Amino acid sequence: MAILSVEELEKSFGDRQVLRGISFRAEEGDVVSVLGPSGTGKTTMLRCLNALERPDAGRVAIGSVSVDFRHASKKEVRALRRQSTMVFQNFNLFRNHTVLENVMDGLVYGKGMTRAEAEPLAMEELARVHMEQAAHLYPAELSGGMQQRVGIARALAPRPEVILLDEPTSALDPELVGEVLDAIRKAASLGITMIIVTHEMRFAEQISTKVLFMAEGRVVEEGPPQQIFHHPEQEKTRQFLRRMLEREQEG
Amino acid sequence: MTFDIHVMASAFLYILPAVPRTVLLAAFVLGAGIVLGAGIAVLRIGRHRILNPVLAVWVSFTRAVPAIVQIFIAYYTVPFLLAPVLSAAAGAEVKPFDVSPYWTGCLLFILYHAAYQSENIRGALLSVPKGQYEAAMSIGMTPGQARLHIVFPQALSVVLPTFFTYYLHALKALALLFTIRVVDIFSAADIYAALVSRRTEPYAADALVYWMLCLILTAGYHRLEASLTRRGRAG
Repeated sequence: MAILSVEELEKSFGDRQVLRGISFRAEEGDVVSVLGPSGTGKTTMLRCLNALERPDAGRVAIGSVSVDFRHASKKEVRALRRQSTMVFQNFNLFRNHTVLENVMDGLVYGKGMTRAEAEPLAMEELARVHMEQAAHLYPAELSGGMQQRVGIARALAPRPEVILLDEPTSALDPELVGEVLDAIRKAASLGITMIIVTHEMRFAEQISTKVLFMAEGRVVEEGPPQQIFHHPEQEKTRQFLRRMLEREQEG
Repeated sequence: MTFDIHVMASAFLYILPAVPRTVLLAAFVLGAGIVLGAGIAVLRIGRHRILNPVLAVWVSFTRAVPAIVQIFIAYYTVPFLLAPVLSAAAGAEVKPFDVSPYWTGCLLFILYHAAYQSENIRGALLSVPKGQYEAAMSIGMTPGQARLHIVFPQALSVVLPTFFTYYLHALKALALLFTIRVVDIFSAADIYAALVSRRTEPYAADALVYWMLCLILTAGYHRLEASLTRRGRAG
């Protein structure tokens, strides 16, 4: 059974329809990369999965919670949101909390653990991303790469059904991208299902079990990375990949 | 006329007992104003269809009209409003002019500071990036937890220096209450001036008291600020 299923998701901002009926599924342990040109609704789609953007229509099911957004109560939306965690492009670490507290927060407030229960678990996650030395620093004292590694630890700690990663390396200086990609690889090796919106083509090819190619608010093509990267069926996919891979080679 | 340092010294001693009273009263009216202002700020950010415009008009009025004008308006109306309430509470008739001007002054300044602070707090709340709230939601906090543990503390570190600046204002603004017979640091000096029939020395002593008080409070505030700096530093 799929751990995540999305059916006919639609979202408009004013007159502009951003998502025009998105459907896909992910099995437990899948790493799904979402690729596509800028402005095609990849981030909006991801933010609909935890209802940071409320879809106008469609159904999202994660784990045991299924929500039809045409008539969803606040309670249902909150239950859905608790099935996932998110890694943000701009990290969004809590600026008034230490690194350790950032990772503990999801356990304490989300899961209702005591601080004594949460602390060793949080330290374990920090060790996984090699940030245990920084446990008592504040986010402002860290580099972007370090902040994002903490962001990954924070998303991992509550062991959600799915982790949503929204362009996790796009705001980083190029030399900091590697350490964050390594942290994501480690997270993936735990077998947690992940949905990653990314522009890192090589990384997507290596890490994914499944690739979605989106354009103009629709899923144009989906399949295993071998197929999408080496034998894409759609002309739009081919053009996009050619452009992106050229850019990566220049870079 | 010669300046008599002895008169100034005894004026100084006469004024001192009014200091704790004034410091506490300023803290009370500003503190209550901050609490009320925070409520108004939250309501206004919520953009309630009826409350928001009503509050906007009231805030605009309070900030535009000089405090002394408001004091006079309050002095000649509040006792008439409060008297029936106090009569009911006391079980005996309380006449409007039995209502202490002290309470009129308190009520007025609480509302006055609430108007100013609601704008400060609103700005501070809006200065916390939306991503902070979203991140809190994404790891399973309720909206209430997200505000209490993430948004409010960050807004507080933005607005705290302003609160202190306004505290010094609040302290000095109480001097206006001498016009309605409330004895603060300034009224004490004024009374002493009348007692000794000299003006320069008592007022000079009064200025000195304000200045020293301001220096002491500022030093105290800087120590507090230093201990809070590490927390909530902008990222």
